[in-house]
Amino acid sequence: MKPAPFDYHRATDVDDAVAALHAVEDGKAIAGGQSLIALLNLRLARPELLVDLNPLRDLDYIEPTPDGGLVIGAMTRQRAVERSALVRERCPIMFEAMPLVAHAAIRNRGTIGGSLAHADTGSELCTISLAVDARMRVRGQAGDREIKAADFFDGPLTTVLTPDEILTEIVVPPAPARSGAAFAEVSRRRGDFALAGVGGVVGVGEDGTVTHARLSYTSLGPTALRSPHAEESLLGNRLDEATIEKAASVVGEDLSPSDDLHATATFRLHLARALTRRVLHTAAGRAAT
Amino acid sequence: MTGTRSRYRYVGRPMPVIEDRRFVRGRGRYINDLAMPAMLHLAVVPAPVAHARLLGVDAAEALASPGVVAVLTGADLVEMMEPVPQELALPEVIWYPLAVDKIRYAGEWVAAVVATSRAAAEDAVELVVIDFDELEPLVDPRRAMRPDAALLHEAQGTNVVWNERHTWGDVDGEFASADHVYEYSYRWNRHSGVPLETFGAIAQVDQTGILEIWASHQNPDIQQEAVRVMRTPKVKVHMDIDIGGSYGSKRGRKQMYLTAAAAIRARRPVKFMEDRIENMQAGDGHGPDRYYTVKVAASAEGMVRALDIDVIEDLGAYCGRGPRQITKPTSAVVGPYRIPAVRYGGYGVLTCKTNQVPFRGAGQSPHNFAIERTMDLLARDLGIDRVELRLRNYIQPEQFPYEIPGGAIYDSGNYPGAAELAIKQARFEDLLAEQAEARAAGRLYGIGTAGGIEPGGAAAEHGEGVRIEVDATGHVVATIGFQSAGQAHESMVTQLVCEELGVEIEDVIVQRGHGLGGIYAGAPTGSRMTQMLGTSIYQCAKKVRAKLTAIAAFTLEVEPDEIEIDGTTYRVAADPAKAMTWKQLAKTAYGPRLKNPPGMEPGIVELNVYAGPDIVTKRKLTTGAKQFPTYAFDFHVVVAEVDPDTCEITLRKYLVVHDCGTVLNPLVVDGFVYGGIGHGIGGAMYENFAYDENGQLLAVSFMDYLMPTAAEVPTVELHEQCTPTPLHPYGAKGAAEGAYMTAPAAIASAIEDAVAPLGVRITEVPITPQLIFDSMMAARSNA
Repeated sequence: MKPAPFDYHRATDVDDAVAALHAVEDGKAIAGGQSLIALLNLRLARPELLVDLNPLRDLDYIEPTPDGGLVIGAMTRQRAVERSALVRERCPIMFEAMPLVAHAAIRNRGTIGGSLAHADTGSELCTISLAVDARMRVRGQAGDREIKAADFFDGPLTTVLTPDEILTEIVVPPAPARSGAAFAEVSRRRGDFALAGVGGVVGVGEDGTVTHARLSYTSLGPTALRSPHAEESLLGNRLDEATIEKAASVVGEDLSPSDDLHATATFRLHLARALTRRVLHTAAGRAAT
Repeated sequence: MTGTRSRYRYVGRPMPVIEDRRFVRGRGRYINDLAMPAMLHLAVVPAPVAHARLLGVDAAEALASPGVVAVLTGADLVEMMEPVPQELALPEVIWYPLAVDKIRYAGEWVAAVVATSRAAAEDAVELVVIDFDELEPLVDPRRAMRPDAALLHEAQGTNVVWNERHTWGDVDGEFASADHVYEYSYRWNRHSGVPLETFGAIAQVDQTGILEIWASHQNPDIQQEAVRVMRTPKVKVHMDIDIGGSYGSKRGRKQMYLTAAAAIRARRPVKFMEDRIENMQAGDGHGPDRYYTVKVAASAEGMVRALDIDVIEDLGAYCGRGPRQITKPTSAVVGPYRIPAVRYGGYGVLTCKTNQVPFRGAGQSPHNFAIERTMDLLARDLGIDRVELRLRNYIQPEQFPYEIPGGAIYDSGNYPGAAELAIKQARFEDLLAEQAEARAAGRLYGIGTAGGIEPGGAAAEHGEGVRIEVDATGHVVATIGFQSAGQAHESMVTQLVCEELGVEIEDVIVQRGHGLGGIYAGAPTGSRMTQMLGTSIYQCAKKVRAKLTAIAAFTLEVEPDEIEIDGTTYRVAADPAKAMTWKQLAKTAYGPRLKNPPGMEPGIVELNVYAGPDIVTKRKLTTGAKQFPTYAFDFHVVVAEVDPDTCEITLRKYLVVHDCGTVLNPLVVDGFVYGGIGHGIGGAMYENFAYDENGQLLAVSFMDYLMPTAAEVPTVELHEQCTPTPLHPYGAKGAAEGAYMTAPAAIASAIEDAVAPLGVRITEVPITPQLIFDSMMAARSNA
């Protein structure tokens, strides 16, 4: 388990990293390395150049925005996100999910940007980014751009980032008014990739009907996914048992899990429905308070 | 010889574990900490498919890769060495470390690259081209044992390499006259003892032409085996490193011989340190992989009259030492029960998987699982309480020594005592009340029980040696013949030397030897060393005391039987002022011969080999049966809850009563019990070396081979019962495997009790959320 030979470049700033990636055919940025190093050692990834983003300390921050949201630098360690009072206050669903991201030792090193750019279907952070309508700020040779989370994930371990683009910042908008959010997952052991995970955000109007709904899923398709059918079924309805049951019953329309050693697709869909119910109950309760 | 000695000073005390000081500080010296000058590194080329005719290996490009010194293939090994010895005499099942004419499982090693670094070797591994013709993969032993199945070893003519059936007692008569007969089937999937450290070996030929081998290997008998396999008497297997976990799985003989051949070929020291994939796919380290069919004959009162146990064991591609795991349970074939008649037999089948290794209990854990599941299911089918059914059937304390069908004799035990203590300590009535409350609230809440036998003292008939030296300054060196894998053997040796000779812990050095060191030693297998090495130390210390007594008597001008030993002081019983201290005695032994008894050998160097207890060495058993010296017992109470929506399983309570006779050191034995339960939780709920239908191993890393962590193992409440064995000087029985032998059965019992209201029965491990889900769905569609 030794990686294939590669060149290594220690980036001095974001532009330097972009230029280094741009200069080669097959470069790869490395952040915390908690997924990439394993892939390298298994020779499942064999880039010719690794561009190390760890020197980019200016991408390590969590800051409030005036609209009530927050921005998180891509090189912020997951452990810092987990322990951030600001994240707890302004993005409680992310705060709730962070302890479920692998293990503390991994979160000490792993970054939020690395997890999002790696786009593993089992990543809680990808699911959360969809649930909260996060936006990804990226920089490439062609300049800066901002990508909605809904447009960011493209397939198994794939995003819409071009090979010379680097994720620099995650924008978390303020939670909608009168909304509640929750995240739940089932994993074989604590810290394992989830067999299924669900993030949900629901906003409720003065009349008690749903005005905003996001349901996003971990390990239930090639990459993190939303369930437009379930979201749609919630809108305009009161969050009662019948509405929740209806939403849970339609999530399968949008999900495409596969079988593996730990769970069949059928069981994963069962879990998706069970966790959808659970998350909606919790989120509804939180929206009401 | 001597006067009486006082009560134990060390035995039974929680003496801090000597090895812990280096292990917890990262100061252990493992195989991967060793390096020889100019050492090369080895990496292997794994087979991409499960079954194929091997047509050729092209290493030309690999040999040209930077840093590569040599590439070995199976054809090279046939020239250089004998096949690796195996458990059964099967001349047509020929096993070399590298595939020779056929590929027999996915991941089997086809070639070995030797290079200046492991990374360079791995770069070249990718360049080795394997030419092969694919054949039908044999993944399911039930298919592989059919006459029309493809053959793994054609010349053998069958894939079934073990097929015995032994009938002890009037099995047919009992079944014919029984009030009730039930048949149950169980599936025990592959898992193992998976150590943190993979297998590693270093080999070199020294200046005198001796082939030296260091390896994370637990069996000293490889010294003799290596002589035969490598075709040279000049072999020295070192036995003085730390092994990073074993419980049986560290017996990489194939790995050692491959490394030795590479060192001979390259004329330089070579290290082979398996990576995790090499270890899991092809390290010959998997455990039992069984299908059980158990028929039980019972009276209306629930007395079990006979068992008919049929095992299909999936051995993997070669025999290795795997078949030992099918036969060991004959030493405790009826578990703790008074069952007068037993039929035991089945099939050992070769398939396209890596070999089995006898690990932690050598097949007793699945056997206990089958027996205890059967007792639970029988209780359910008869409508008798599970604990009550067991109590009715237990061998009673006054019946020991107790001969079971087949002829093995259990030395001692108190099974009802342990069960009743566990029921009391667990406040079983309260648990039942909690369960009723939980069930009323729609929760799936179960209570499980199981009791299991731990045969202790494997291979006792092979003896165990120790050498005790007292130097001229009075320091004691105890030399043992094997390297231990974390079961605190150095601590035990130190403790017993202190106990028997009266010296202090800091006066004792425990030295691990090597294959030319003159210590006759067996492997730390089958909870053996307390029984065997412990007794050997006891006997050896007696020789030391006899010599010191003789010196004291000579110096003090009395007869030896007038000497009384008080700690390290040897004095005249009738005249206590006349005495010699330990230091005086030691100095005298190495001093002028005139100060020593005439004819006495200078120095204090005593060697002892304990031959094993008479029960093992002087009795002939029925064909097919085995005898272990001691039989420990434990009884587990587990509370499990299953989430009805997500099928997640949580262990809410774990209590165990453990009885291994005298506990030499509770710090060590408690660790065995806790570790065994953790291991049992792994086997019962998480660990599975699963293969797909093409014979590809699905769990090749710790991402997919799930071992329980601190988060999955509940707090264990441990209570001791002590029923000493008459077969050991301190009354101690083997203890390192028992908790693992019982835990899977207890956990299955609890989970089944949780989901029983849904009509689900648990007959398979690991019990995963997926299994619960599938079982619930099946029960629902049946209802």
